Amino acid sequence: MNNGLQGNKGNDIIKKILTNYMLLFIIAGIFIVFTIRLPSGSFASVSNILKIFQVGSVYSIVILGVTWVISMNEIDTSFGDVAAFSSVFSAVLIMQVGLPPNLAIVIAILTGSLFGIINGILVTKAKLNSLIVTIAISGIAKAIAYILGKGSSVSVKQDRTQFFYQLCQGATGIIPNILIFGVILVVVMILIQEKTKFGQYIYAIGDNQEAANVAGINITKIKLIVFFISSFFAAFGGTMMMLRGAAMPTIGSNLFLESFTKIFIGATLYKLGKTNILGTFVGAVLMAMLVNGLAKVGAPSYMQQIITGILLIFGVAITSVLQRRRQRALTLEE
Amino acid sequence: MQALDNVELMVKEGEVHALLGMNGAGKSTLVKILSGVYTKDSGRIFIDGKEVFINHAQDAMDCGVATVYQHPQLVYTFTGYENISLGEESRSFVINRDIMRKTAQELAKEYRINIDVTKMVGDMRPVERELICILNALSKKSKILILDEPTSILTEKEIEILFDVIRELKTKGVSIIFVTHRLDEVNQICDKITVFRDGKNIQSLEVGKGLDSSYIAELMLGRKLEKFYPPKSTDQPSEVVLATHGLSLERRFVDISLSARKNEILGVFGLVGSGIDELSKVLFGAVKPSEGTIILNGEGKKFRSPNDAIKNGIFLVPGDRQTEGYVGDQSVENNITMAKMNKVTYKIFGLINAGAKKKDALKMVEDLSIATPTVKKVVAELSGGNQQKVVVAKGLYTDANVYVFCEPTVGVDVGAKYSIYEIMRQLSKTSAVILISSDIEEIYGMADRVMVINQGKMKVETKTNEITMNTILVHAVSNA
Repeated sequence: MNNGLQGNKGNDIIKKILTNYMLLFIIAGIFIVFTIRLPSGSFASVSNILKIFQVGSVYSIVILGVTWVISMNEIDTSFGDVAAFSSVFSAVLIMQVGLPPNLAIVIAILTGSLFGIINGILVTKAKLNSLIVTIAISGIAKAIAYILGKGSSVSVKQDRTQFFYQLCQGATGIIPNILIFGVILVVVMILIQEKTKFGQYIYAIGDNQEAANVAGINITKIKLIVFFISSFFAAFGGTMMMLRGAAMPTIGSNLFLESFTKIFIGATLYKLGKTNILGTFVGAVLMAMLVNGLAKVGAPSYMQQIITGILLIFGVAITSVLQRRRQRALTLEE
Repeated sequence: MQALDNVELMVKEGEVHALLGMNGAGKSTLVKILSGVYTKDSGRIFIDGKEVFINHAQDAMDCGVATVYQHPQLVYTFTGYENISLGEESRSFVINRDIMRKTAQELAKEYRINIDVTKMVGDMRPVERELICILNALSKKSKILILDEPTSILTEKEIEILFDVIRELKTKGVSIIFVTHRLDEVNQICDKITVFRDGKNIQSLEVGKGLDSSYIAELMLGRKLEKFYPPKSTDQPSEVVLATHGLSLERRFVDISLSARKNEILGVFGLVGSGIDELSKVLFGAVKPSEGTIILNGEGKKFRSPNDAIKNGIFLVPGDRQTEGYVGDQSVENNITMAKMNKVTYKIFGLINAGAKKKDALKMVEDLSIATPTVKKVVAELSGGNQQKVVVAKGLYTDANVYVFCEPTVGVDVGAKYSIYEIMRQLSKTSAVILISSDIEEIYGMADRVMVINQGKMKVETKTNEITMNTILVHAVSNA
């Protein structure tokens, strides 16, 4: 029986490469522009490129979990303020309570993760809208950060021998430890995303929750875990920022715009308009490169904000074009 | 009213058993009970002579009963094989796509289903999606497959593909319950039929060499037309107000040419899925036709949006009033004046003239005798019939030249039904009225001229008094 169900694929492959890897071409383009514009050695040097990757790693770790929340067709806007909370909380535990830094950091991460559990319960059990829930939780986390830090930043005397300090600020040879850690983490999470049932279910729920439900998937459980992971990484990222010198209750609002830009510009890479771990990491590296290059060119800081905003719209536009195309195919055929 | 009343159904191993009946005859309810979506009030279900208890979807799955719905629940961004094994992956945390793919391919091969399971479901054609659903059922070792109107969205070539698969499943001993209202398919693929009417199984027949369409149509219809409709028009129809020429919408309908006049209600009859719903949307500018023209008062028109259609004097009373007809949590007066706010808005700053709005709404409420204590009442709190009257009032308020009614009396009680029919009749004196419906009695009772659409094709157009209800139905269900 040959009914011609197998379509021809020739043209599709070229189109697929262009749409799926557009982001890499953009990065290459921006890299070339900065390399030409700036004196040799200031931008395209090994140490600067490593620095870009290091910054990219730090800021991608904060939002790895948020990426999955969005893949699941929910949203988490609380990550920035959860990071601020755990940052200030760990600083207070070290400086005012006098706990050893490693212990303080672990406690701060676990406490910060609690916000994710609360988000998850409110979304799955109370069936509340995740946008509103996480905005509310965000406000609460931020307020607690202000109370703990008495309204200002807390500077921390760093103990450079400690494990977490070495992990975040140390280096192996010339390669920053956090970059190594970030890459390992990203690889592990890509494997979970692509090779496990858990990863499979995240995207099944995001695409068609009813189909996932009919297939017997425990949606509540998956959502709870993903919201937990989201806050866990946000809290972890917060303590990393504390280790760079001082804990500030305000970091949340700074993270907001650029984080969503990284995630959505990343959605243009690799998984056909779906937010994903690899995309978020590459998006974070792109943003780090832009910030680095613009600073070296001497562009005013608002330029960076404008470009970030444009990139976010670009990322969302491509994502929704891809989704709309699919939607249209559905309405026509069903 | 009971949706199902003492229904009996016997399906043998390897048999394709068709459930036939008009809308609301009880076929879908029975399917939902067998697949665990609804729970029966009484009665028993036996599989292989053993009584089974189906209370949830999972129970049906465990009993080996799987249902393929018209709109399959699939994850469109996943490949075919990922959907086939969704929720049934290996026990371990890690999944192996190679094994998943191979299992799916072997399964497809075993049942001689020729399909590329590595393709993303979103890129698949409707028939391929149904095949993926069938494979998903087979992967769960289902012995009884319920296909709920599987052919309504397929092209003829695709239907052939599906039928080949069904024949293969038969030889493997899978029993198939085939829900349809298309007689030609029954003769083509089914071994036995059971006709449903008003929640009862009327008769079961062996298909044998083929069944007589008009006899089955009679079984499906049963009773004679009740005296229930306002008298038909006696005036001479006016010149054509709205006409279409070769109107087509890809995959849904093709080459529809109709003409609507004053003093004559045009009835367009078709079964669910025949394309009539889409036709109403094209006439209203909500969906763009792929070919053909709409001619209004002798002038060719292209409607870019419903707003455009309303400005040109066309109004649609949509089939699904809850999602398209009214804004449920807004007041009666807001809903009535919504489509033509200009009438109660000052030129300056677009301020609303609250007094005029209330007055106009009150007049509509009186004219159509909408049962509501005040015009401030929220529409969602009214009865189905009165909600529909609000939707009609909204249309009347636009002073349209053409009214398209799509399934206007679904979920409307008898009393309100009659007054909606009276309104339609009254309207037809001053405007062109098109009634698009899958309720054959409504069409026969209301339309002065009737047109039948079957699988997106125009079958017949004639004066209603020159055709019998039976013939209309035969045109709608027989081979297109």
